[in-house]
Amino acid sequence: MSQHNQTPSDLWLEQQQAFWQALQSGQPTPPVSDWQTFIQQNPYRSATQNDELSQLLRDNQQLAAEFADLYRHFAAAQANTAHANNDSENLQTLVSGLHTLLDEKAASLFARNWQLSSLLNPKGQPNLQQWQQALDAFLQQLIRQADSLPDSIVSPGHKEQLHTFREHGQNCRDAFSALNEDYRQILEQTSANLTQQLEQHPPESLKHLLDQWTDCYEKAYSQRVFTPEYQSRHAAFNNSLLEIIKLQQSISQPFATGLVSQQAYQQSLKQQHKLRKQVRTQQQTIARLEQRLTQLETQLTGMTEPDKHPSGTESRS
Amino acid sequence: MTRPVFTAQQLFTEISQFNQQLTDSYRTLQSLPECTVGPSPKDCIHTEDKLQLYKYRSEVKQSCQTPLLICYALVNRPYMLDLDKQGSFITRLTDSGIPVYLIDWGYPDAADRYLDMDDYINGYLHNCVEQVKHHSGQPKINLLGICQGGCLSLTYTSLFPDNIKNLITMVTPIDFHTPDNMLSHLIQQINVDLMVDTLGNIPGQMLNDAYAALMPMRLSLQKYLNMPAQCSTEQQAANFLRMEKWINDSPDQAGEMFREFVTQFFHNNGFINNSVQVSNQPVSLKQIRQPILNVFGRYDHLVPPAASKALNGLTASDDYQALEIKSGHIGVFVSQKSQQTVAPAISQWLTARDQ
Repeated sequence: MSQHNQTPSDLWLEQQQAFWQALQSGQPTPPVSDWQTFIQQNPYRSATQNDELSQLLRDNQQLAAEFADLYRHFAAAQANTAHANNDSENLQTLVSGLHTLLDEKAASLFARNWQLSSLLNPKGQPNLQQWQQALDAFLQQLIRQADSLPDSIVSPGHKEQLHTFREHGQNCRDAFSALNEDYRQILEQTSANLTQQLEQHPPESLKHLLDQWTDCYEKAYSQRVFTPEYQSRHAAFNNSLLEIIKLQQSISQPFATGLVSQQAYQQSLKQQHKLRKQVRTQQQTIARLEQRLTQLETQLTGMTEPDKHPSGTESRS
Repeated sequence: MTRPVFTAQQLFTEISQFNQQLTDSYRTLQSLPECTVGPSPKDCIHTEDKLQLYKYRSEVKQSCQTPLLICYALVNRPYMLDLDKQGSFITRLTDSGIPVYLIDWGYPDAADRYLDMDDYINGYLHNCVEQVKHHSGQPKINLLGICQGGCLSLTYTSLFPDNIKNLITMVTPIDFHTPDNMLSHLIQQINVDLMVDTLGNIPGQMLNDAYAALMPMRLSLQKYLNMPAQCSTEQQAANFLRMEKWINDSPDQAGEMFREFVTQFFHNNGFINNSVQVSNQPVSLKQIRQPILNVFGRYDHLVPPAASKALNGLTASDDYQALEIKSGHIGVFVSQKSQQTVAPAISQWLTARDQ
């Protein structure tokens, strides 16, 4: 195939083929770009899908590319090992390799599931330590923000709330650390489960191995989540985070700017809702009364209409 | 001596195949025609605030005179029942002669922050039932509730039993405290008052994150590694994209309704403890004497089978039937196998009780 007829994806496949052939034969491997780079250079474009679906596809392809590269890098590492020394590779090193490979990715997902990502956005593919640092920085910033407020714009009620601020911050941080420890144990248990499973069911392929790892992770994760301790830490983290957001909202109330306060806004929404409910109830009552009226009218018409039966039978009815 | 788990040749073959699937799926998705959902023709017969009530058109002779109203959950969107023509749960029902109506709750926004259970049950749902009765000219309707919509439907039927002829619950949680209900375990100690007071409406994305947290690796690592193989043909890619659109289309939840639902059902297990109330009206499932069909998925991780099965014996119905489907929460509606079982079973069940 001539190069100018090739699509970017054909070229990428060709590069990959060359890379893997070199790897397989123990030759120096040529440079090769990963799938994430390819997707960045050739982003999804479609004239047929609407903006929302196009964005969804781009997001999906980005996520799929992250996992695809993880998979291919692991395969390359395994191929290197297999080629270098056939006798050294065993199930245990494979399990350790997987543990290392998936640690960061799993941690990133673990943190996302605590709704942290709505508040914090550490750069790149953050590990748990980076999440912790981002959380610390966020709490520090809020404390500084609270401390810097001039007394004139902070109501006495809010001053009292600010006292609890540090307490919630500490609770949040403590719960996060405890959840980190949970996560470590889930990962350890995953490796233990996998080792046990592989002894009985050696993987048929690398993809099969990743599926086995997934099963073991879910099992370990589920066991941990069903413990009362985990549920308490999970709740403590989320509740303290909510307390902080609530305090942050109260600190940033636009008192001084003359805009309507959050409290007044909520009050008007509540009032509007109350009226909406009243209107609905009244409409339903009117509909019921109308129905009843129609029924009564029908009955009345039946009572006043002259009997259509032949004369002589009327009096017997 | 240990032996290598994989040979370089094995890995080469596997990765070459994966790379090929990766580029094939990339090309397929790039060239995919416009992906639409909800193909079954329908007419909007009633609107109220953001709610729309639809009647599906059908050219098939009615096998059942009593209309069927579908009450979907407030989370996610009801077009999951009609993703594409081939696999449409709705089409299967209308093709078998069932007159189908569906409530689309819409997308609550800040103005809906204070909508509560009373508004949803005594307001929206009741008004929809009256509209369906009026539109169909029938004195009663059949009501089908899905997931949370099943809880709303049970509550409604116990409050307005005269309006309902037959009741169908699908993947509906009844006992929220079964030991295998992970979502319920995770939410037990969450301060829902604080959550609603702080966030107002509950963001749909937060709910999506909560669902993803139930099987984090299966719904990320495994899903995305399977994606290239699942998108190799145009048909497969379109199905994948439609499902992704649905998964990510998650409306925010009206704050007060969320507070009430979590408190009454997740926290207080209202159906089991007979403690559900709607605007101070007590709700007793013993008011329900209608025939009930309870459909649930054997592998449902969101609403475990035990949570649904608990309905048996809680009502006063002497015609209760359970139907277990070998699939997960969504698979009950969209898996190829279920499609051949579920809608025909519902249709038969309704027709047999249409006297």
